[in-house]
Amino acid sequence: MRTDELVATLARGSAPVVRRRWWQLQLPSAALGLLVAVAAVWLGLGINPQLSLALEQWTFGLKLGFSLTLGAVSFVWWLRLGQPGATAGAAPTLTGGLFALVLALGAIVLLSAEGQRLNLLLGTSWLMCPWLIAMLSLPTLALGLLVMRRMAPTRLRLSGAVTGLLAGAIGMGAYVWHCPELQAPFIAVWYSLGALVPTMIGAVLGPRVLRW
Amino acid sequence: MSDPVVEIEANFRLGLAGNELAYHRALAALTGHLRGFFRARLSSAHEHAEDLVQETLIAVHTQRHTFDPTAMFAPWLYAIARYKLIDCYRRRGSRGREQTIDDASALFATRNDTAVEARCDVQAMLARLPPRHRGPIELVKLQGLSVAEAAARLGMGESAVKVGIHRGLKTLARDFGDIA
Repeated sequence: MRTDELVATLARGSAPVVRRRWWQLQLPSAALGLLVAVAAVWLGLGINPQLSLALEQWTFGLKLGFSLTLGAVSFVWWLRLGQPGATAGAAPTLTGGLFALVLALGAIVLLSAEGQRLNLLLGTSWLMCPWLIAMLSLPTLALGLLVMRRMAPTRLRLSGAVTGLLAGAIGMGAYVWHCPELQAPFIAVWYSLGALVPTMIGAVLGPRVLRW
Repeated sequence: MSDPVVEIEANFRLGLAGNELAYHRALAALTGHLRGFFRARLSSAHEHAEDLVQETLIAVHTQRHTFDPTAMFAPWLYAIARYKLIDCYRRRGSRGREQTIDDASALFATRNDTAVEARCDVQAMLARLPPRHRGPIELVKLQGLSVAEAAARLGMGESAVKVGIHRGLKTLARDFGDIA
């Protein structure tokens, strides 16, 4: 087919474009991922029996704040990656800054503690924490990649990674309701790693599944 | 208008609102710029560049819902053209050339209106689509029937016809790359 014929073919009968906004598709998909993860915590892992005590600690706020902020920033980044030509703005800097801040807080607490340092860092669940967060992020990662396929990402590996980062933040946001740990160093290290796992899975999958 | 991008953008926006004629003008004007852009960046035969022009036009069409009306047109178009170019380099295994850094203005710097036949035949590729996608595309896009007429002729629902066109064009855009 000649190019001018193709142009005529594409233009013929083209209807007005209905643009789906972020709260119509992307936000519900992230919310659904969170819902599935919270249900898995509730029905599978179980809610932390000491939750009411945990809620009084500032470090619970740290966990929840880490998840919420990372979720919000990566969500915006994710949206922009799906749109050709859109710049990421402050999202990469904010993401880096957030991880640096949480790690710095963890380091300060760890260094200022006398003894008990190993316990502050490892708690009782360090072996499980990152993997559970990663598992809880998988529904969001799958949904996120599906939604990303409907957008037009031009940087596939980065788009996959940021989809994973968003999924990680959502996995964290669900895991806090189960997690028995309240030490800042523990959160800084193992929660970050928990978010990193889906990010890497996303980076590996991106070029394969997001190509268009 | 002196700046070609201003006119193309205006027509493209009208096209998004449903103005078929303006949309046709926008795509037709884009063709020349895309051709100039790709030919300058592909050392091989012009047929490859023509494939890429067609592939990019289909991508612009199927992805036009990702264009944010509050944003500028040139960076959006450039990102798509650049993505298709890099994808082409990658398929042909010449990774070294991915580093070409230029910006959206490069796209409108050149123009070439001498078409050559593309190596990939869209008609032949249409034949590979499943009937539920091919039928709607042929009737609506090639023969110019309305969606309602096509739906009646094919015994499909109107939304099924629209979905068929959309999915079929997406498949076409993807397969283009795999064959080229």
